[in-house]
Amino acid sequence: MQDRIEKRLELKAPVSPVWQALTDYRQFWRVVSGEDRGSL
Amino acid sequence: MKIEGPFEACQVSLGHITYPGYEHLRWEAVIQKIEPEKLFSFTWHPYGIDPRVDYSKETPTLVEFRLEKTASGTLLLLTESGFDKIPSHRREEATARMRAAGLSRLRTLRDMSPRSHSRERVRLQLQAEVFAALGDQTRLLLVAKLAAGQPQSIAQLTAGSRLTRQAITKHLRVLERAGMVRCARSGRERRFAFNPRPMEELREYLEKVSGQWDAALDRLQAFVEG
Repeated sequence: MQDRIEKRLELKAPVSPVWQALTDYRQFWRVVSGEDRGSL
Repeated sequence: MKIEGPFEACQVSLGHITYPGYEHLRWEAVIQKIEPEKLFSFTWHPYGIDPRVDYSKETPTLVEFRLEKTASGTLLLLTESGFDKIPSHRREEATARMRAAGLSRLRTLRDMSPRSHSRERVRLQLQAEVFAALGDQTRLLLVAKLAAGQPQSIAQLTAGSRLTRQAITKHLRVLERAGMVRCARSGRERRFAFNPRPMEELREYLEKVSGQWDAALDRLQAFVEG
């Protein structure tokens, strides 16, 4: 049994906006948790 | 969530949940690597959001986002690793507390009152103990042997092995502590049986965490492709 999680996703978007969404602290949590969409 | 500032490599990143009723929860990560448009990684303590607990001495998990340019856009590879490295004293504490509290289903942030969050940490720690118990070839072989059939004595488990009874006993104790093996007396003999529940719990946990990442990646996809 593995003790790691691996995901692979092909996005139809250039690298720059993907990078921005992951590393901009203002966007990061919204993407990761969906908090702003009421997922909590 | 309000994160307090831009991410910087080798720096701690802090945040506080702003959703009403959950303001006591915090988010903390250590940004590990920022290689522009290639690699973003951080370490964190999954569910390590209780402000009353000092997580700094515990080994965190590592989350890595790797990006590659492709003909049609971007390939994103995400890994989260290190679920087996929570320290042993935490695992022992977790085992005792889990046995006292009983197992409950994995909860998401939605359920994380301080009390439920504490149970969640216990669950995570017990699961780390199962990972650690399985991180040894001899113990894996013992689990395979027991899972395939009837309860067995130490003599039966030692037969055909180069290990001594003492060594086999030591490995069985580790498996017992993780709840994966149960011992019962049969006359003068102790017999060991496989208990599948911890592995089922572990699988459920990984599936849950995996599902949370799937949801996050769906949001990312909608965000960048929308």
